[in-house]
Amino acid sequence: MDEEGIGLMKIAIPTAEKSMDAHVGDVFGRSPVFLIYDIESKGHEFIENDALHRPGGAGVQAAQLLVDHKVDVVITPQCGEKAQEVLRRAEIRICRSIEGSLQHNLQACLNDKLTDLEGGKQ
Amino acid sequence: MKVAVLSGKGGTGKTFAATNLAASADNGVYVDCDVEEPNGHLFFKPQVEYTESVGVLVPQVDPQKCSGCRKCVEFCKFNALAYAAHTLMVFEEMCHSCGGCTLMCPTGALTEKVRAIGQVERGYSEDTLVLSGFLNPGEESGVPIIQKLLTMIPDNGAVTVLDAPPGSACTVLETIQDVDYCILVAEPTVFGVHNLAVVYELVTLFRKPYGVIINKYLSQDNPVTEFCSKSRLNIIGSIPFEQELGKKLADGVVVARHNGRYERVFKEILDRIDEEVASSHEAGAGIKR
Ligand code: SF4
Ligand code: SF4
Repeated sequence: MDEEGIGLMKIAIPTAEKSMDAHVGDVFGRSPVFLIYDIESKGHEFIENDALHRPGGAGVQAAQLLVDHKVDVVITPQCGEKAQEVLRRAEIRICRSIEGSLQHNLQACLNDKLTDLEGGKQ
Repeated sequence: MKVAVLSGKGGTGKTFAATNLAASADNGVYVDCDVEEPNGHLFFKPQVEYTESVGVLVPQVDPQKCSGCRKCVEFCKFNALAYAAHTLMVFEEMCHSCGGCTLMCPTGALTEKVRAIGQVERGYSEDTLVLSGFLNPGEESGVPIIQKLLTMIPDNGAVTVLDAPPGSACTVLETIQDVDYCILVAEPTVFGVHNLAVVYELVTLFRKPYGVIINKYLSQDNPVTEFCSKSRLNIIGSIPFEQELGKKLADGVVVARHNGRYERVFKEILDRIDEEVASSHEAGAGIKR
């Protein structure tokens, strides 16, 4: 799937709850939590997003958080332009989320069923 | 005398009132502080004699010197900096020009440069001096442009009318800080009352003398008049609604210059403000609430 052919390593998804059955959150920068799923180890963790409480530029900081966690793919319903710029600079692929749980979105991603998120917000 | 014209929302006749008041004064000054959507110049069509670019300082990085320590990224409260793929990224539009990152950088990789965010213009339309500020699209804050406009107001005591941005953002505070009087423009509808309440709260907070102008006035039986009498807001004028007015506005003319009745309405409002400012100065600033 990746151009290097080693496959995806880490996938991040914004969410409001720390559960695999939870739905994908509807915001990116101000998402309270991100799921980070490691394809190799099949392990996952939920990380809290401090950007939530910052006055402005939450998107950039959330993107920085994911860059620092070395994710390779982000699945999200939307993502601000500046956050996208940061993610793309770090060669992180941004996919549009689909209806359903985090688990469902992860599965769809692994089966290469997701499309790239185009453009800015909304 | 400096007067600011405010409204809770755009499109309520704020610019209409501000342009006509300035045009009704002898050698009046009109200052368009609504820098995100400056419309006053469309009516005045001034002969522009001076323009100046307005800029702010933002950091720029020398990638050769950057060690990737990210002290600057952690420092920036506005998240204008990010570090990804061994590069420091600067989001200039989000920078508030605090200068902190440049001071923090241990390797001297950051320096400051000027970034233009808009411009100011000065020109004349008949005997009215017209000062306009223009914020470039996508910019976050018009405050530096408003600050520049305020320095361009001549210090000759002329009647100066500042067309404030709509709402109660910090650009509005910047606009009204030095004025002698605030005019709150409202339309006589239920929404008009909501919008009026927003700016009324602001002027009382800043203890500015104020008066309400009702635009598109038809009869005294309307929600704004009712609100004003109940909450004891001072109404200083009403601008009657006429079909012909709509046409004139669509043609982009300053109505008071072409229609004696409207000129009288605005002149009377100016006289009234003049009296109120004089009496509030006598009584000492800040007593009138
Ligand atoms: S503080 Fe200076 S050296 Fe450190 S990341 Fe920022 S620009 Fe680079
Ligand atoms: S000058 Fe201040 S606001 Fe601008 S990038 Fe540096 S730290 Fe952030």
